Amino acid sequence: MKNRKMWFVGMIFFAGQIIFAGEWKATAEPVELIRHDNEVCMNPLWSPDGKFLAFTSANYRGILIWDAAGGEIREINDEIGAGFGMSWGKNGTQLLARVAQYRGFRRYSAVRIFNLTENKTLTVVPFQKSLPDLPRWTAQGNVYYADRKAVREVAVSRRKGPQTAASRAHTLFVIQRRALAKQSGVNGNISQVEKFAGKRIINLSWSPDFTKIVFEAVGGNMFIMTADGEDIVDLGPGDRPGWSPDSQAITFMVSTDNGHHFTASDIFIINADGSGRSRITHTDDVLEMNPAWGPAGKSLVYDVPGQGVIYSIAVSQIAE
Amino acid sequence: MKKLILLILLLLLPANLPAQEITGLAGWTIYLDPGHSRNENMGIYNYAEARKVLRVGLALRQLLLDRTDIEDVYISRENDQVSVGLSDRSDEANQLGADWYHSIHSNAGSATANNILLLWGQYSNGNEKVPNGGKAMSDIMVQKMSAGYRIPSIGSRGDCSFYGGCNGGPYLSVNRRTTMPSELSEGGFHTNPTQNTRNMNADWKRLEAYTLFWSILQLHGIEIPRVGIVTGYVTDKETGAPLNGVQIQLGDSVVVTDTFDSLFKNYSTNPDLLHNGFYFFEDLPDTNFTLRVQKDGYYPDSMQVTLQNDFFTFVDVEMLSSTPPQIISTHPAEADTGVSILALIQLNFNRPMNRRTVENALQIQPETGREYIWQNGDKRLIIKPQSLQSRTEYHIIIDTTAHDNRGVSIDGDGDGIAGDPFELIFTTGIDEHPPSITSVYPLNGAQRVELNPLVNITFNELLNSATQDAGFFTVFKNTSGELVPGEWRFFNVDGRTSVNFFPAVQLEPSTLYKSRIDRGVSDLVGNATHIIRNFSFKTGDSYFNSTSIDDFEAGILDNWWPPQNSGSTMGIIDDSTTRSLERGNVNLLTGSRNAMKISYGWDNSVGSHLIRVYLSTGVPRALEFDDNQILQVYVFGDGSGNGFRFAIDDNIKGASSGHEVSPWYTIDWRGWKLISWDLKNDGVGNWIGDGKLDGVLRFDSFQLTKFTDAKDFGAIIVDDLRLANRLPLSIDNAEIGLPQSAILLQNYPNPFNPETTISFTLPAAQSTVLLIIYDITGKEIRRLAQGNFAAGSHKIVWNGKNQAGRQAPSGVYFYVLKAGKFSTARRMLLVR
Repeated sequence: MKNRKMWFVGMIFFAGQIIFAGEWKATAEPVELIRHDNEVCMNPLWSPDGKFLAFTSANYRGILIWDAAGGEIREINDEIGAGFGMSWGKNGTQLLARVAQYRGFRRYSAVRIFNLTENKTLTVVPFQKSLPDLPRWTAQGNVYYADRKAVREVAVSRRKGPQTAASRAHTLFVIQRRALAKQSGVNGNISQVEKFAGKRIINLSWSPDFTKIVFEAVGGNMFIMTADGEDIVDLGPGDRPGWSPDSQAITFMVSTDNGHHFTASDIFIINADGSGRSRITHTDDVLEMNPAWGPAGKSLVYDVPGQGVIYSIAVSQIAE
Repeated sequence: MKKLILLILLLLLPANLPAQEITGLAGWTIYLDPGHSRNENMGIYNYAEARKVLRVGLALRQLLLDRTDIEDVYISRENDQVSVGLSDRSDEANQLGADWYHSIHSNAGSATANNILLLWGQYSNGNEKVPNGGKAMSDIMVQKMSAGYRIPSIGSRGDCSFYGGCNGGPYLSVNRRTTMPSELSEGGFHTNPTQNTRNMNADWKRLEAYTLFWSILQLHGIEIPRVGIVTGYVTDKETGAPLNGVQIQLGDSVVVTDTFDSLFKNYSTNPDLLHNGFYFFEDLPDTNFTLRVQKDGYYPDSMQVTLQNDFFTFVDVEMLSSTPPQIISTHPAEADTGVSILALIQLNFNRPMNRRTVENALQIQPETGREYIWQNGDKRLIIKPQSLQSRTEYHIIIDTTAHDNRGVSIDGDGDGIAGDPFELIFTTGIDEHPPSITSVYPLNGAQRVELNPLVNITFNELLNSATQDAGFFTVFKNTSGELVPGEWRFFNVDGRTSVNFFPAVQLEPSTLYKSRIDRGVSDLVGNATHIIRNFSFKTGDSYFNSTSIDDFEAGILDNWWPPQNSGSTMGIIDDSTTRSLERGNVNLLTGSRNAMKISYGWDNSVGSHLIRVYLSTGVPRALEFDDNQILQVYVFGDGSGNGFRFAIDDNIKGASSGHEVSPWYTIDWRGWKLISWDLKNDGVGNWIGDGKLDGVLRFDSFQLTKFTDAKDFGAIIVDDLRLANRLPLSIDNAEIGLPQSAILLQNYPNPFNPETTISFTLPAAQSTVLLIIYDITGKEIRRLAQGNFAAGSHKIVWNGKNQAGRQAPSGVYFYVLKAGKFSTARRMLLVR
């Protein structure tokens, strides 16, 4: 809260808030989690086991790791774009990211896996000119990515390094030519998802149990869809959806801007069936952005751009 | 023979073939980001920044795709319907892994500001954003855009230092949240009337797109191909005004500058309002041309043009009007009667005149000596007679020897043919009448008048200074004749005297009072009133329970924008339009020491006029309310006939907030007056909202506009902006003077030093009364009261010391009364 000048207004709204069963609420005031050497800390992401919290700095440059046990912060990478769209592997020790380097004014991208326990970096895809989508994990622990020609799946072995995966029997979703596309697990053909034809798709991610995906239409709503392309749930407007560990809920942000910078932003949660849309933060003068779930599904982390600080806030769902 | 034909064909081919593909961008991608969405950032004359920059982006994308080997050109939006937020824009560019990001904008500010600005990403330490490149691109773009627009630049600047800080940085979202080199261009000001009228032209957007296109090529070290573009403005040589509907021929190509029917009808209903005179020829195959211009009412012209190879070839044309000089308006008007013998005579010509010939050709009958004053570039002549006789018919005659600066004789009857004399006839009058009252508040017979009314008695002319005296004016209780104590003030505004009375005490409820004006009040020439005037009014059984939004005691500079800072402000004369702190003329009802003055000057060359004095930040901005309130402000009117209104933000907690306004209040009063907008019952005016007050509300701005026949220059003063509820006094409580709800009164004195008294009234005994002092940051300074209080009035003195007994510093403080469910706050000023 900006200052106590606003106390009477804020109290009215808190007091007037009615929460229904199935909805979510904050159960405590936000707690400052990470503030680091005058650096901008943003885009936090907990490891599934809750041991590490990854975050990045301005322009998504590099990846930093906060050790939940010791509170130490270490930089594991300082490459361009590494912190945008990074994702944890299931075991909580591997972090997948697309990084970039510039040669002249041309961008080259590579895919890397950072192993935190062994302190090693594995290059899954070496620098190349065109990687127009982010890499993602498969349910089997492989990595898949799209280049301009195809969707490619790579098995990552500590001993053998990256290898083309064996034939698969699962559907992979990618963003191709800015649209949602899927590669069939049966015949390997890539096709646009017709139900979202004409929409530009961003921020696609698999649920932790790999049964559903969530994504966002540019200038539109967020959606959940099952892996077979059915059971579409329209989650309404919002940005940057992120899955809860049990794959049952989504956190996201709702922001307004003036074309130059953000003027308001708050954190929300909605159940994966589209019910219980709940506003978690209620501030006019603090921009809560880029939320992600805590490991046990009992908290959220987010950043505040004006401060460059990462916060954690405890949440709980009202019993049905 | 065949070889000859082939050779001829080869010579002809280059002009008809598509432009040769430019190589060097293969494998490179760019994400173009036309800023904003839909009709956002409305510019002057109803043309929005969002619409302009979209078309610049689309044109640039097409140039890159059509003329180069570029791999992909992404764009954040492709139409005027979709709304794309900042988060989506940067996320999509990042996801695509685009090589570059360029955000296209135009700027906002005063009506006279117009320049080019490039902003690249910069960290707090001054370094350029990583990956680098945005600065290099900006350095090129700022030069090309400035040269193309032919307006100055304010540079290629790091966004962090430009905005004075960035919390780590970069400042702009498009620079901070993207993973590639980026920059943001501000192409001119959409609040500038000249610029935004050019922005409406489709080819103007291509002009900007070309400057960006060539910048991209230069960054990559690619030679700019031959440019075959001739462009410029066609203007009236005498007035400098851009001309509509000019036919311009260049070789075999013909274009016509925009007209009301072809373009401007989309943005105005006034066919004479908008004009840009802009033309644009592109893809010209040759180097040398003859350019010809023609338009009805102007002499046709032609000139030789040689094209530049590496940039636009600018050719501006000034056309000479072929109509003779005429007088387009006068003051007094033709056949006016009762004209003051002190009047100045004003003649307005349609073009600059030759002074000597006009003065030699001018006669006044009956003859009188005079002085001449020329203004407005010799288009306005003011005649200052030495003396005019009362009740006399005068003739102002200008014979045909008067001519303009080109030697064309005057067209006195305005028929379009030169060579006839001009004649103006008017008759003077005489003043034999005493001053009369043109308005009074409270009105005679008024009921339910508030308990602290600001009495305003305005006369039809200036009062003699000897009768601008409180001895002629009283307000008293009808039954007892008891005088109401207070302060009288006399204001001479726009040729009239307004007499204002500020009661020092609250009037009694449901009681008859009278405002009395004694006989003997006289005007400047000694005509005195012969009768006593009484205006009766009865107070109501309710009172205004108010919460201050801004009493301006803490100043205005931090919270209130100058009118020019708002993109909504339009049609003003820059030098005459300001907002400033007013210390001399304030609302004495509240012990005020500061108020805010809004001065204005309207530019009559444009058709739309609006001043928005925007409340941007601070405690006043943070106050939220609902539509169960009355929005009030005391306004010192200048009697100009212009319009005044409130604007508020609505639905500020919802997904999309809006702007709503009150109805216009015509400023037909002089002196102080309380203006009230009952949000529930008074209706909503028409601006850019949906006409409904939705959700949580917040104050936005004061607004002024020019009404027909209203004055072009003037000033108003506003003081004590507040929210109010008219609360009833219960019958029982009214009898004993107790309200139904608690009341917290303004402290007295205020400002104060060293102590002040805070008064409040409780309708019933309360066991949980708290009276707390807070400083401007919200820190509790002193708990003045806590515990049981009986029904009735209470007074508590604050000695200006904090809880520890130390003197509190000078500044604004809030005192908050909580009594049961009741809670309200007021502010006060401690001056050490």
